[in-house]
Amino acid sequence: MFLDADADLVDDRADFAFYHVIGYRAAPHAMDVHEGAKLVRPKPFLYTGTRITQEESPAHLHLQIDAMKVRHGNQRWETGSLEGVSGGGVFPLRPLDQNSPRVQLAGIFIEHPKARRRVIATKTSVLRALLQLQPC
Amino acid sequence: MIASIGEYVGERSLELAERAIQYVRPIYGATGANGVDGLGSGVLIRRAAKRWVATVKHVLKHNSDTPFEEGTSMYVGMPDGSINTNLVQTQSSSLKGSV
Repeated sequence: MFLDADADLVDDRADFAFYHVIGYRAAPHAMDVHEGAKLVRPKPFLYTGTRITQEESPAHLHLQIDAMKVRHGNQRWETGSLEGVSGGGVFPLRPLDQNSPRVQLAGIFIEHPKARRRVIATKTSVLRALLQLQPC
Repeated sequence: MIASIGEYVGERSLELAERAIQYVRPIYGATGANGVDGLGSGVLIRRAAKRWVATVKHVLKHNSDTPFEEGTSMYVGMPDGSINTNLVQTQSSSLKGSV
């Protein structure tokens, strides 16, 4: 199942309040390894963050993350290391009045500067430009 | 039945995540002991007939660090837990960073 580069990448100018960060941590406790069956079942990492627009560069999307204050439903937990999540996707949560089931990509997670409590993603305009360099 | 606006938003959020996760895959690197290490994640993207795994530069670096001489040393995790040894295409890019 693949996202369509011509239809499923968010326009960088669109602004959304919340974004999902989805990837797979590389830590051993984040995956179940079934050696006999030669299967690895990683547990996906999901974080929903708000966008920080003030310090964004044209190529990067910044999302707020506080490793100590992450909530999932009514539970509070620590994110732990995000090693392995890099390369994962950042997807916008559309407002309730845009009741669209579309999944669109807003960026590729590249960096987690812990001290600055944020995750940084490369915007889709960069990805689109790279893909357009490739012959179809 | 959803009891509150908060729960409704939460339900919608999880629905989106469940759909979005289909496009995100773990990326593994082969180890010398015939095993795999988790390296990072990647997003599956297609444009016309071409298919890609978009990821970051430091994940792709494993391919040049590996002692293997031929082919790719990187594999894509599949939804059923198996590992696809046919990594679509590795193309270094300006997507770089570290976690």
